Amino acid sequence: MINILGQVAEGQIWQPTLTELSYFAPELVLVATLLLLLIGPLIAGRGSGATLVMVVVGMVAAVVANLLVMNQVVTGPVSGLAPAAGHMLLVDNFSIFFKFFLLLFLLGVTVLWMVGSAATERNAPEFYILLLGSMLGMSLMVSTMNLLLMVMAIELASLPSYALVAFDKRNRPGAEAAIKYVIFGGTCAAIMMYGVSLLFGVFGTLDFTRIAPQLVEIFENLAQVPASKLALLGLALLAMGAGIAFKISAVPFHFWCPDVFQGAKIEVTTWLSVASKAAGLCLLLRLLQVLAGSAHASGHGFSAAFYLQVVTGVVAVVAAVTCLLGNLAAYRQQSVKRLLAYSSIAHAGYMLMLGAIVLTGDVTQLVWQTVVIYLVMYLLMNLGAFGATALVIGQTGSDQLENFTGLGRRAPALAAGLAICLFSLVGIPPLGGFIAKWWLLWALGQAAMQQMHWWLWALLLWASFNTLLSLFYYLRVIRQMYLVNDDRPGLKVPAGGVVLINVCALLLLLSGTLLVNPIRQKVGRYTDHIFGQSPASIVQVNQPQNISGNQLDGRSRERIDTQ
Amino acid sequence: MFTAIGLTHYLLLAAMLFCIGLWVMASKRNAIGVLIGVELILNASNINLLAFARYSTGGMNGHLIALFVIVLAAAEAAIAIAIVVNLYKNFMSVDVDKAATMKN
Amino acid sequence: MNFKYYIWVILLVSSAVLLCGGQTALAQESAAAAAIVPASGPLEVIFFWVLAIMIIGSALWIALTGSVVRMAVGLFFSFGGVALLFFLLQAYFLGVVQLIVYVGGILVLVVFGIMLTSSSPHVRYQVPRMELATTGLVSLLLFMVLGHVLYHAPWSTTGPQLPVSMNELGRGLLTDYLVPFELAGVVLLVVMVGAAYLARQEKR
Repeated sequence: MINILGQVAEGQIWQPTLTELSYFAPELVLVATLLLLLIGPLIAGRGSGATLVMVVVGMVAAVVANLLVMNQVVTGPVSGLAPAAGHMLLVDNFSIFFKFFLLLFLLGVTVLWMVGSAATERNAPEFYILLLGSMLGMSLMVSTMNLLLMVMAIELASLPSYALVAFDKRNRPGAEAAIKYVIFGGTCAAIMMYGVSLLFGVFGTLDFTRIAPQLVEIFENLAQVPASKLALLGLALLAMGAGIAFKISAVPFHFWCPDVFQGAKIEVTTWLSVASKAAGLCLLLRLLQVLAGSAHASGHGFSAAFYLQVVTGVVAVVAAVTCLLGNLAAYRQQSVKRLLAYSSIAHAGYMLMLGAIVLTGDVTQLVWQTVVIYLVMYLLMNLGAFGATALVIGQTGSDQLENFTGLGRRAPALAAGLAICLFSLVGIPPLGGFIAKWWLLWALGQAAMQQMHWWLWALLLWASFNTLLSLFYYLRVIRQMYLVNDDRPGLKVPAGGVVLINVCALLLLLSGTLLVNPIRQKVGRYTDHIFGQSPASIVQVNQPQNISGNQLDGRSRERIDTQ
Repeated sequence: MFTAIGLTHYLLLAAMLFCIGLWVMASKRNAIGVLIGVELILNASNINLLAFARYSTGGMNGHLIALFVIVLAAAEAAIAIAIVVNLYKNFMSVDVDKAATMKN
Repeated sequence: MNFKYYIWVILLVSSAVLLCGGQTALAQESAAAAAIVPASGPLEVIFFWVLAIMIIGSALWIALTGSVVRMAVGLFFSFGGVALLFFLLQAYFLGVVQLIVYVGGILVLVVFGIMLTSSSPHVRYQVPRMELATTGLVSLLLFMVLGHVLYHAPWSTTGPQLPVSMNELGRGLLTDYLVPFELAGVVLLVVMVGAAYLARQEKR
């Protein structure tokens, strides 16, 4: 590989070039928006309107920046800004996709906030500073291969989220949810940090692209590796997994999810339900992808390495249990927020199944297509469902199921949109949710056919069985809306909210019918280059050329050379 | 074992601190007590990092990572204490068990 | 379900997993030497043991005491001991940072938290003996397995390395670790806004 220690004249220091900086324009714009929100209120006042203007300006700028970066990066990831410690920050099509995803979702949440609580909110700047902070953390979670930056990004995503859950200060459930969230999150983060410190001791680096080949090598020569080292590695990886599983809310780290979702403001719940889980999942998938790439590069591939199958097995079991538990627990719920929380746990389980097959290597393209499609559909479905719940809460003051009684008569447009989103969450045929689930099952089936593993077929059956299970609790809500009737008065729901929900529903409807083919082609083209030229290995193409390496000590110089 | 100090000594010390931290988190009812347990665990990982830097691979990197862990610990403590104070304002108690209004 | 049990379940599961790992390790090797670097002077040895007793002793005190104020005092000695340990590890800058941030910052924050949230400083949160004993036992089990694995793992010891100078650290922060360095700024900013918002008295 290239030695990136260029010559720099004595007395000069290394700086990233403008081109390198421009790759991180979306992040920089987000930080600038944060600062604008801090300083702006001094001039424009603390009103919701002024804040909204600033946020929208920032978001538009971020979208434009992301578009510009997308046009630049077509060949591979870039790791500027961090010369020697490589892979601190990556820019590839996947991270760009995820930034678009987050921005789109933030737009949805903003509309929801505008309709629901903008009028009464007196602390709009703080709300958006925290929201944007967590968004920056989430986008960084998906743009890094360095475990240190991963921990920091997870913390940046979590810490503002804790505060957001307690944002409504007089709300007792909110305070309670926040303390549970912060205790649970802090515990998981600390355990993860301990695991990462052990990994650092074993490998001497936290760059996962350099850890992964060594891991694969260890896995392939099990006989020569002392058992204590294996135990140590298993322990460290498990501890690290705890932190990631917390973000995904996978079993057994899901306990915070229902309480936090119920206690938090509905906008915050909506935000956490999609963005936080998607970021955790994409982070995990990226790590597994690098592992798969290293196994592939070593020539043995998946089947030779028994321990890779163990890793896969663990992910598969966690996914299966997460699915089942989410679906079963959703039955008893009377609070719709809580019901949707369990539904989101179940959906995290479905998506986690992709983590089980990404290591098999043969179906990589299909897996990433599924990731992109599933995430987008999941965003639309959840935005619609939570949005409708927000409107009902706004009008009736509570999210109990009984408040949805006769909604089909009291607010027909709202009920229709919500019904479509719920049907889509089940995966009923002509809707977007069906397309997503179809892709998932297809990917599982393909992996099963190529690997001939019985447990992959079992996973496929399990996913279908769980889909069937989930049908009934979503139907409970729909039944309450259309079949149960009493003489409650009609609801006057704000038009903006109804439009948002019906746009989501319409998009779901379209993506399940007319747009199937365009989506397939577009996503197929996009995922061909999702990690640059070759998805199996992450390569660095843009090397920063001038680093003051002559000042670095011998140890790190050696480290750089081995790249 | 008692007359020469090496990497293992520090690692075992850190492991002990880690386990005591877990014990504190598992047994305390008080939200601040749980937070103290988290801080102990973060200290344990810092001892690990610096011991590796001194006796094994890593060198400067271990020091820098430990520095960032300290930053994160401070940030987390700040937000956690704020949330605890907020809990106290609402429930007049920092007992985690008492704040349990939400049920399945 | 009681919230406390959540952490409990995790503890149990992880220790069970660890136990399995520890067993295999025990079966395969028993004579792997601990990684001990011979060249450590007598003072270093004495200081290590004194500090170890100080850190673990005060941590145990934190676990056993029911009074939050005593917990904070225990935390003071624990943090201070870790800072001195860093000096022993020749991480001078980190030792100073540990003193300033942990002892001078986080500890003060914790004490403020205690003062703001208790009606009297002598309020006690006594944990039932039984619960304390069982959680302690599980932690002990965890430590035995973890310690076993750490003790036998083949660490690559290259011997004591030269201490890292502050110059190097500063250069590292602005080159290799520039991204985390900048990110730390954003984390602190966002956290500051969040904490200030939560702790602020609302105007009516």
